[in-house]
This record gives sequence, C-alpha cells and structure tokens, in this order.
Amino acid sequence: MKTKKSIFNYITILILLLTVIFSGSTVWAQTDSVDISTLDHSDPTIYAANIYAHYYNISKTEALERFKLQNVIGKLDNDLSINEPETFAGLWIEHSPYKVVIQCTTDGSNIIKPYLSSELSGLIEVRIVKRSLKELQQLQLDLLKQINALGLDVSTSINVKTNQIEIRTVNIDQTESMLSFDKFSIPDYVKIIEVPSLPTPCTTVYGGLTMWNPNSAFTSGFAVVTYGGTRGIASAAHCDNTVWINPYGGTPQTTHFQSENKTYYYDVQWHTVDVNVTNLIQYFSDGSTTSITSVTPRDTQPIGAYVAKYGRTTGFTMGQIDSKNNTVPQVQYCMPTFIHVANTLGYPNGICQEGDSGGPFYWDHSAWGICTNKDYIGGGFYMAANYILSGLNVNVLTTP
Amino acid sequence: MFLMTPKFKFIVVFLKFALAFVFVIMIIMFDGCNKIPKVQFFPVQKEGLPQMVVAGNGQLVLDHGYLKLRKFFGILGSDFIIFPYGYTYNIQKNTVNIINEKEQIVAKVGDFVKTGGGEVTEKTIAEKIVGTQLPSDFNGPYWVAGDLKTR
Repeated sequence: MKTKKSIFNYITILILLLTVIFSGSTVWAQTDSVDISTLDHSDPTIYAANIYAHYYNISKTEALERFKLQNVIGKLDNDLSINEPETFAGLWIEHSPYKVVIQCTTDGSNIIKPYLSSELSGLIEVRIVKRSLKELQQLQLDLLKQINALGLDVSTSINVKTNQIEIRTVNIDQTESMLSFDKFSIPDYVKIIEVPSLPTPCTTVYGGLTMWNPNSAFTSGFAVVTYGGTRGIASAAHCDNTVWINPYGGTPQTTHFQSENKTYYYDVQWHTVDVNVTNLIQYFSDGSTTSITSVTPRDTQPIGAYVAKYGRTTGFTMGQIDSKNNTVPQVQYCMPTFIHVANTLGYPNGICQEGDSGGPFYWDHSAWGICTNKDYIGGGFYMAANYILSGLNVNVLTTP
Repeated sequence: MFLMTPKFKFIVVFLKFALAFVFVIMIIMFDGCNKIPKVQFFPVQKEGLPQMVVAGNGQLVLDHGYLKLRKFFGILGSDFIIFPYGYTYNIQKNTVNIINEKEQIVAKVGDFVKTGGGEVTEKTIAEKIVGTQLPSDFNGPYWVAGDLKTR
C-alpha cells in the first residue's frame, strides 16, 4: 500500500510541476487529424477537389469529374424549370452516394429523358410528389401576402426535398394562432418551424467601423474597389494587417489583407472581406451612416476649410485644415503632403485619439482623407483620399 | 505481486528521473527571478512628433535588456517599444518601473498595458523617430508608443 501511495505521490507532484511550467508560457501545440492547410492551394479548383475527395473518400480525379457534372446538372435544372413547369418539382444533387434526384408530379421518366445527357446516365433518381415547383412558388407568394397582411415576423422558403413551404418563426404558438385567427387553415404543404432567430440582413461593411485583433484596434476608412470590381476596405498602413472588422451591431468578419504603402506620400492599406462592401461611412456612434459619392483631391482641399472625421474612439469630430504640408514619422522618405486639422472647436479629447487611425475624414458626401496621427495639442493628421488610388491602385468606392 | 515486478521498479525509477528533470527545468526558469533586471537601452521619441493613433495593448516585458510590448501572450509576437518623449525608468526591488514625463510611475515590467501609437518595421524610420542610432540587435518591429496605462 505504501509503495502504491508513493507512486501516486510521484505522479501528483509531476503533474503539478508540469502545470506550473506550462501554465504561464507555452501555447499548446494543436494537432488536427485533417490538416487541410497542408494541401496544395496554388490552383483553387484542385484545392477544392482535394478537400472534396478527402471528405467523401474518393479520388481527386473523380472529385473533378463531379465538379464538371455540377454545370451539366445546373443546366438540366434550368431547362426543366422553363420547359416542364407543370410537372417538374425541383432537383438536387446528393453526394453520398452520388446521384441526382429529380422530382415530378407524375411519372416523369419519359418527360425527363430528352433532357438527359449521357454523362448523367445511371445517376438519376426520379421521385413523384404532389406539387410542381411552379405551383409551390405561387402558393408561397399567396402565403406571403397573407403573412404580410397579418404583420407576422417570419421567414419563408421552399423545401424542394419535402415539397413543402416552410415558415420559420421564433414563436410557433403565436404564428399558428395568428394564422388561425385569420381563418387561414394550415394546409399540408406548409410546415411551421420554430427557430432561435430569424435570418439577419446581409452583413455589410464600410468606413468608420472598428477593425481589431487582440493586440490593437483602429477604424476602417473608406470602401474601395479595384478596376476589376473587387471591393474592399482601406485603412492606415501603420495598423495591423491581420484583423477583423465589426459590422455595426453584427458579428466580427474576417478581413484579408491585400496590400499597403507606407512610403513617400502614403500611409494606407486595404483588405477584402467575405461580406458586402458599400460606399457608406459611419459618422456617428449610434451607427448612423452617410454615403460617399466623390473624392476631393488634396489640391482642392483649401486651408481654412472645415473637415469632419469619424473614429472608433472619439466618434464624430470636425476641425479646420490649418496646414497641408506636414510629414509624419512612420512613413519612409515621407513627403510633406499630410494634412493637419486644428482642434478649432476645442474637443476635450482632440480631433482624434488612440483607435481612430484609419478612420475617414470627409465633408458632405466626399472623401477627404484617412486619419493617421494626432499631435500634442488636440489636432489630427490625415493622408489625402486621392492618394488611395495612387498608393494602392484602388479607387474609393463612390457607388452603392 | 505486481509491486515487486521489474516493470513496477522501472516506473518508479522513471518517475524519479522525470521529477529530477522537471526540477532542473524549474531551477533554470526561475533563476532569473533573483537577478537584478538590467535595461540595456531605453529609447524615447524626439520631442513634438505627431503620434500614430492605433489603440494598442499588450504585456510589458524585459527581453535581453530591451523593453518590449508582448502582443496577445506572445502569439502575435512582440515589438520593441519606443517610449514617448519625456519617459524614463527606474528599478526598485528588482522591478523595472516606467515613468512618464510628469514623473509618475505608469507601469512596471510584467503589467498588461494599454498604449496608443503604431507599429513601424523599418529600423531607419525608428532611428529617425528616436534621433539616434539603435543598437545592432535592436531590430524591429517597433511599437512607437503613446501614453502607457495599465489595464
């Protein structure tokens, strides 16, 4: 017994000591049985095929074949919707086992046959249902009219697989009783589903929002767009590159750093995002926004002019341009083109403070610059907005 | 019977060695605790420079005689700090205190601090900001700090 106890003691002491050693220092190494990051990602299609093949335990070649078939199946879906609206009730792809399920209101094998290409032979399963997709779509529209008339806060969709219209609500009892109150009997093609929350509006980001990581926080400047149409968000280059952006009232979104310039005239960087980008800036801490429809070049920003700014720390401030020929210390070979705004109105915290870097300077609906620095008497500095184009080769976005 | 087997003896010996190893590691780790810390170089910015306005934070650490901002427990790396104009430091009871231009202690090594400012990566820019040549092993990135506050 004594020896057993001593072993226990040894192990306990060992665990305690190891805990002490590791608690304050090391980040535990993470192991992952499926390390997708190691897959070759030089070609996006091959990368996707590798992931798909891994997930479904098939060869990469077969994965690529299935990817090609998606286009064929998409065309089939479109053809049947247009040409056989009274019979066709939707289709979908199943991946394990791989097949295409086509639904019809009658035995549609003969109807479908002319549309099938040889590539799909052996992959088609036909199912018979009550209502065509066209009929369900019309019923959904009718239902929406009634829901809107009742003022119900719900969302609806068509579930092709079950051949039903689904109503999603956060309060199933209330929805059912209100629909019944309106003497609207709930038919078999409608299913009411209780959900924790309804779909939120599509997330959109723009200037004046918080960009952050655990180490730092700053402000987004203006929405930008490349000549190819790729949209993103510009901020100051001296800010961190790996950051999230917080849509107003929404959940943080990942940003993807694209490029930056912090030499000569520039202190600017830009990121793409996975959500919508629009030509707004937040200009007040309650989330109010205004659109940006033009860029005022540095040459047409006169000394003495008032300019407004929004930043995550000091919010809305405005002041007068008192100098247009300043350098800032963080820019290599800095040319004296940075614009200084005096704290003419005497904001107690000045024009800008820590956290406002990158935020928009603007006037009316025009972009004037991106916040870069503060001085010791309450003033702020910005890089002129027209330098976003020359510094990064992206334009300030001036349309929705 | 198990208690007398060679396998059991091996486990005991193994545990003893493991304990000894862990003690050695701890001695190495905590050896520095009794040494008087030394700040090799304390860079401050030139007077009157415009200050970048990112809201930064991290842990103030002393690394080989240089004060650094350790970002997110070191996961995001650490920056050499270039302190605001007028800042100094002192060492009291093995603690390095950071003192602001009003001669107030604003933080000490080990504190988690909030500090405005911004990051620069080029040594030449850092040297311009400090106004002097930086030590050869004082290589960025640098956090050009605003006022420090403990979190």
